[in-house]
Amino acid sequence: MKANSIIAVVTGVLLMSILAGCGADPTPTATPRPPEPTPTTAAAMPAAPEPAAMSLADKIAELECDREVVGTIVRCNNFFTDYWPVVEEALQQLYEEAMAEESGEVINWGFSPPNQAQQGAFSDAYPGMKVVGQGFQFGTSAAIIAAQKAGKVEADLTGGSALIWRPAYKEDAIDTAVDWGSLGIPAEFLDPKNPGMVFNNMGGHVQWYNASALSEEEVPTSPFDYLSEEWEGRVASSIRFFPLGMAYTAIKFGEERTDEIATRLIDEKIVTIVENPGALVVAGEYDVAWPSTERALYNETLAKFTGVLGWEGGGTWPGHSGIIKGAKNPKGAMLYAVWQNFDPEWISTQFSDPNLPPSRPYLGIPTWPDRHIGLQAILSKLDQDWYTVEDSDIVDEVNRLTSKYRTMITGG
Amino acid sequence: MRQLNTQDPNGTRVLRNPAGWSLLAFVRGRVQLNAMTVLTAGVVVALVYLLIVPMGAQLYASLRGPTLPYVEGATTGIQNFIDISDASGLGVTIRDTGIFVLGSVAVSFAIGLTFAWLVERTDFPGRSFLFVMILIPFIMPQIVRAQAWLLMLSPKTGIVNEGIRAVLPFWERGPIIPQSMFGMVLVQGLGGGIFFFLMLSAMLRNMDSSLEEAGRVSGAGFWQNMRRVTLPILRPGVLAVLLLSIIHTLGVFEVPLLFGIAAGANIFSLRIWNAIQGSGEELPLYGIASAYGVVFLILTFCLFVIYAFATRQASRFATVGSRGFRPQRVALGRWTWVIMFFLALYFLINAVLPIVILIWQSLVRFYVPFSWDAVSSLASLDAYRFVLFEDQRFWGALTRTLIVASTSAVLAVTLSTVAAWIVVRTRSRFGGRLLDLFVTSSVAIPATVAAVAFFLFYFLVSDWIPLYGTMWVLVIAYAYRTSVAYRITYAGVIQISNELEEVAAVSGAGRLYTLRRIVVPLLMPSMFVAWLQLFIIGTHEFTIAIFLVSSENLTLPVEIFSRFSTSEGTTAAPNEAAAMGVLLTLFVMVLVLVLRRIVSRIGVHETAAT
Repeated sequence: MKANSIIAVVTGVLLMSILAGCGADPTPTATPRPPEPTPTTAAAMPAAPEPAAMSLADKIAELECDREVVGTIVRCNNFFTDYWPVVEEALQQLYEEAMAEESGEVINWGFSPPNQAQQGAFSDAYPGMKVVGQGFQFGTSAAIIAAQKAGKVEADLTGGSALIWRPAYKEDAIDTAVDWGSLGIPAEFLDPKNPGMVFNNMGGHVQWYNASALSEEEVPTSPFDYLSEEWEGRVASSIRFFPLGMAYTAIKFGEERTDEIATRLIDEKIVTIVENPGALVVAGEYDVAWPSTERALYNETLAKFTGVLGWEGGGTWPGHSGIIKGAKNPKGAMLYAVWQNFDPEWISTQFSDPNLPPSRPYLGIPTWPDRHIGLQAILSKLDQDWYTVEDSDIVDEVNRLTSKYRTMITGG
Repeated sequence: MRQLNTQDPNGTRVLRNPAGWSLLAFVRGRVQLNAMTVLTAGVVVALVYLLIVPMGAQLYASLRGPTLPYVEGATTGIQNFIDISDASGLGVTIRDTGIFVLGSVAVSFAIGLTFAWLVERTDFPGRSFLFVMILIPFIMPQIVRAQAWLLMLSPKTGIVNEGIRAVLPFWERGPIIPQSMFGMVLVQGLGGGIFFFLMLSAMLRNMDSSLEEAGRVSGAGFWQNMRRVTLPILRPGVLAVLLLSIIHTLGVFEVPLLFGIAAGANIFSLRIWNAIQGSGEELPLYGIASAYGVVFLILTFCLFVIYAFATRQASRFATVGSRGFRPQRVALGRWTWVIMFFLALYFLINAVLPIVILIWQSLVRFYVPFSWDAVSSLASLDAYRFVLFEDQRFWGALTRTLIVASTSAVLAVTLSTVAAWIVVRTRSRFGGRLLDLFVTSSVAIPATVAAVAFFLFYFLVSDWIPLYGTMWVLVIAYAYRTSVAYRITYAGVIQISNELEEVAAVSGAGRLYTLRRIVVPLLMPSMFVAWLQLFIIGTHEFTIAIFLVSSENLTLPVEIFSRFSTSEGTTAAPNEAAAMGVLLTLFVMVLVLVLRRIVSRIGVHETAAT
């Protein structure tokens, strides 16, 4: 039995080495795609030789992260080969427990509601389970706190960047005792500053430009370059991301200078605040959507019309998942969070179907689809110190500044 | 002693003993009195629950602060009112809201009056066609129409701006910027013309034009006649319609939300919306939102009082021509062609293009200006295929929309019908007038204020009345528009002769029995018209739905909005939003036509039977 285990581990390592290319450059383009889809349900799992005597806890204890530092995070290069089979087994147990105890419905409150593809894939992977939810954008924490203070906890799960969940976390509305490690999630994927939160993605600011109207060189590289008549009426932004972009600009260039920039950009009608900036760039209505997120335009067809670039003064942030205190279905919520963030089949599906909006895989997992051009634009400028990396230490300041610049637009 | 020959409710003749009858009559009188009392009390309680209680919750929240009214440590006082009355608060809100509302109403009034006059007072050809054409935009939900206008007014690629630049090539982009006060006033104003047209054309139709004719005979020109005769006669009625339109526009949310994130941020409905959003560590400012709501509620009630006075004045100015009366129509002569050109332009912009643009958006993943190249390379029916056959939300949202719209309309019509009957038949003039004002007062509650009030009330009482977040809270909230149904059913009740009910009473039928078997069947056509109107409003309703939204009660207009916005991230799909808009418009239109056909037949049979 022990020999079998050794053979299995060696085979796994060899396979991983072949797939990942030993010593591969950690830059995005050189990183392999996720492994082929793996079945997630017990019924569909192959009857591979298993060290039956080993408990799940033992298996988890044996796992060791093949560490590699990427920017500000640590990657486990053996996540899909060593960790995922164990995680999947743990998820299967969790699934059975969740189904036995709860209705199967998971309520997720975050920046956006879960999309239909996500809902369908989750229910397919775990029959009987269902995820629903609402998108509150930057009001997510406020909604959670308001509900909790009224004694009406409705949601099970929340997440997003620290800006989204951190105020609720500080109000003790998120369960800090959740043990993601018990599911086989590497310690490297957990946020040591915020117990109970697991990393799940990486996001950041970019600018999308109309490639038929502008060349890459013509696109400004910082907010200051937009301050000229030449750009009047050519830049679109949204009420959600303009204030956030200005907040990061203030952190990099100072609040006083940013106040002036923000005022001029709005007063001189350089930036127009609209509901759908990305779509308007595609339509040729505006030349640039700035500040935007790397996910604003994700469809392959749209990439033909638009280019994407980073900008100096932008922010980049890791995303997290956390279980809400008093959740009705905490096990279901954990199951959904881990599946959504790390399931190789789901990640692979998103990047292979041009009609699906791909989520942002956490940089810690060894998957790096070339197609994620938005994220690549950020990473290419990360080393040049163009970006401020968000962590929970600066969240309060970003929140304060975001509110301030939002008020500048909405009038308070 | 006389004997009374009467009929029981089954039609059987019975000879009653006079002495016994006296006793029975006394008992029945008591019972009838009690039944009426119970019915009246029931209506009043239902109206209080529907209209007063949520407003009470809002008043309570406005006096609690600073953020959540229900938490420990929340203070009680007028701090929220002090907070909103600072320089950047109430004053600016009233100013910007005033510009938006009065500007929109002025545009609507000009359009409505022009069309009403053309249809009712001129020899303009194809007046029936004109009548139908002006109603077309009404079939589109307001949120869908606003989205279509957003695309049409795009400064660079929007068809309206391109058209203007083709004729007046002075600008590189624009000249109309949709994200401006002018853009909002224009879109809202063009959409509101229908209401004025319907109201003013009815007034002109019923006005005795012999007075205008007398003016003409006396040598008054067109404008003098209009100024000295027509407008003074119409003035009280027009004032009432203007006030009604102002109150309605105060509650408009769709256009400020889509067009005015920055330029319209001080408009009342957007102020309330922004206050309850919360951001980061800033909790929703329910107290501030409620304070704005209370202030504007007081304002609209003042307008409502003037409206009530104006409608009473209007009845004093009523002039009715004889049965054979035909108004003298103004000959337009060569002006016909000029007017025809502008009308065609108006219909093209207001009725045809929004639908065409919406259909085009439904064919392309993200909006691009129309071109044959785009048709061949980008257009597809994918959005329709997905929405109709694969979408897990569309059918659910559509079903909920139809259930909520139809059920809330039944609730409002039932309540309004009974209230109208009590008001018309009660012997207490004061009580009747009071109930009349009570039912009508819902018109004074702007949709945004109602939405916040319902949200707060059902959120606060969800432990005892667990409706918050469900579809049923929408049913109750939508039903607050009792005045819409009441105006129609009231007009229906006063047309039913009291003699029918007296005969029923003499025949031994109780008041409730009479209501059920005689009044309601006769009122069916009016009730159906009222129901239909509320049903259409319900299927289009966005404001109340988005304030009360949860993952369990998404209606189609809210689903459409969430897919339209690319800022929403993963759920954005403007083509699906447009496809849903087209399908909802078509579905409601077909449903209304079919229902009208079915119910008109049933209505005829019922009426004949009674």
